[in-house]
Amino acid sequence: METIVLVPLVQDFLNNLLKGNRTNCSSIARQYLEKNPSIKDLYEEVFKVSLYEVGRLWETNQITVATEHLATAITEGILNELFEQIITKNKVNKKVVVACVQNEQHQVGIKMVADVFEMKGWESFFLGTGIPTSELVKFIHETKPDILAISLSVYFNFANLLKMLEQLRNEFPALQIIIGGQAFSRASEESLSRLGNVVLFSDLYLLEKYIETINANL
Amino acid sequence: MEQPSENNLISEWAGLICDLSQQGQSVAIGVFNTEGQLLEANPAMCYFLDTEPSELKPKNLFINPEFSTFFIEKKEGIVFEGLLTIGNYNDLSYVLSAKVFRRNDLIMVYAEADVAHLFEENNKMSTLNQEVNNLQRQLIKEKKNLQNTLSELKETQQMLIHSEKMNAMGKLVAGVAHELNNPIAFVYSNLFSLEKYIAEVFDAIRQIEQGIESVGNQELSEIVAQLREKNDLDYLEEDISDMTKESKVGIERVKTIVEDLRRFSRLDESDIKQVDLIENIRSTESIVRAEIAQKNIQYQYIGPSQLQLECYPGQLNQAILNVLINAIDAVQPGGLISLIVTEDKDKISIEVTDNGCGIQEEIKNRIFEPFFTTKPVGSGTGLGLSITYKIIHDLHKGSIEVDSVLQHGTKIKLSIPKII
Repeated sequence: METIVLVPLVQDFLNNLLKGNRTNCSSIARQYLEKNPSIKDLYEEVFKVSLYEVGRLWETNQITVATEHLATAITEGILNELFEQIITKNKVNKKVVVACVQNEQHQVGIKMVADVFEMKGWESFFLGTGIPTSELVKFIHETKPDILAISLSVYFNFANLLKMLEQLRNEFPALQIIIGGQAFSRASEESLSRLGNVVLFSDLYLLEKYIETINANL
Repeated sequence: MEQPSENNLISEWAGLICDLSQQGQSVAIGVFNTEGQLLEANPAMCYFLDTEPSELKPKNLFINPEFSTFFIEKKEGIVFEGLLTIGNYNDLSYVLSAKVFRRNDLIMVYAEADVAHLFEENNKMSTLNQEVNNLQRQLIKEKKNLQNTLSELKETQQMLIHSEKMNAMGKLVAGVAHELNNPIAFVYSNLFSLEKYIAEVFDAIRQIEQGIESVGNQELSEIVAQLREKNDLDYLEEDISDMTKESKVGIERVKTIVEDLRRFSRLDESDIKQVDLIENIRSTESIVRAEIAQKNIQYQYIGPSQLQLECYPGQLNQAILNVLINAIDAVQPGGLISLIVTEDKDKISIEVTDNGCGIQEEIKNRIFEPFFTTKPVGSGTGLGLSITYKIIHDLHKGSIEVDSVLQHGTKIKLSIPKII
């Protein structure tokens, strides 16, 4: 069986996630931030790596879905712990709606995306998972965001994404839509080409650069 | 050939299934004697009863129903069917779906976890947890928003207090100016009369002297000459004239200062009004004239000598004063400050330039924040430019440009539209 070598801190974080030890996970995250105060790095290097590994452990039949839920819940709890220090006072008067593809239950990634927007002074709106596209359309009509960010974690839902994009394009032909998530690391060139006019981000760093470019032109 | 039914297919594996399920975690099987002593148990039953297969000394027990209830009616076969709770009243307890059988004096407990139910509950709990998480996130955001609003309100409150103070000071200045106006008026008018009367008195003296001279009385003429010399009348006449001239200049100045104070405070003009901007600027300059002189600053005004403008005069004076005070604080003794007024088609600009210390790059975007100050503790409130910003930006719908080079100087340009 394939083994993945993780840096000790990440391995420690992962072990505690799998054991369900929230307190330890939280203190490891804080330890990390003491050495490197970049929350983005924490998300990319610790949370993303650990949760991708959790996903892999489930795929390779080594952990249950319940354990995966537990790991996700703990990570989301830590995101909430950090959320207060993320919200900046220097607002740029821009709005982003972040959403998951219909039937997609994985919401940690899109929350991290929302956090990066918040760090850059944007107002983010997150509706949670399980929101039907029709409700999302209604919400976009109400909030009139500058960007819509959609996350897809499980490739199985790719068809749902295409359907959702089509619906959104019909309603909002001018709306800037960006997408990302673990699913795209496996998507073929052919399927990516079917996404049409959207911007795909592979990580939070590229997303940050993108937001900075928009902010610079304000 | 007859196809075997599914049941028959599974039952062909019965032995193996029985062995496997005995070893599994979801089916707990134990055999007890009538005293409740555990005689044999599979690993799952050992786990739930908290004991080892080698020891068989359970730390947990049957809580509901209790073991004794299995013997209330003496009979063979099934003695209980339903949910069985195993635990110790302290820690977590386990609830299993159980069937209890009696054969002679032995009790066999067959208890299984309802996995379908557990999975379903786990999923529901996960969803619930997600919702709680999202709700918490929303609450954090709203809390942060409320905190921000609170600190904005506090700032506004401080600014209100400050502007209230300025208002009170303006009232005081206007009141004092008003009170001074009357005595100044009569001192001013009396001085003119005094000057005239004294000239008349000396004129009369001279006429008396000439009259006596014309009479030709030597003795009387000598007495008059002696009196003139003794009383130093020549000197008195000259000195009194100088003194009244100086007093007149002095009282003129007092009059101007009082007028400036009155105009600066503009208590009567808190509303929008057409005024001569340059006259206002002059009166504002007079407030800082002493400091400009004390620091030996070379100050110059460049611009028209008159300019009618619709504005809030008292407030605009305050805005210009704040910028001037900062310029004075920024320059070295002997430094340069200029105030330039220019007029465009639809706006008027007031530009204050100094060759002082300049503004550091990293604080440039903070200078209009309330309470932000680089001045030593106690000498600045940090409200000056924020008030200027409010007056120019909010009240006059104008704009402020800042252009500053560290160690070279600063230019602050206030622009206000001609029609607000």
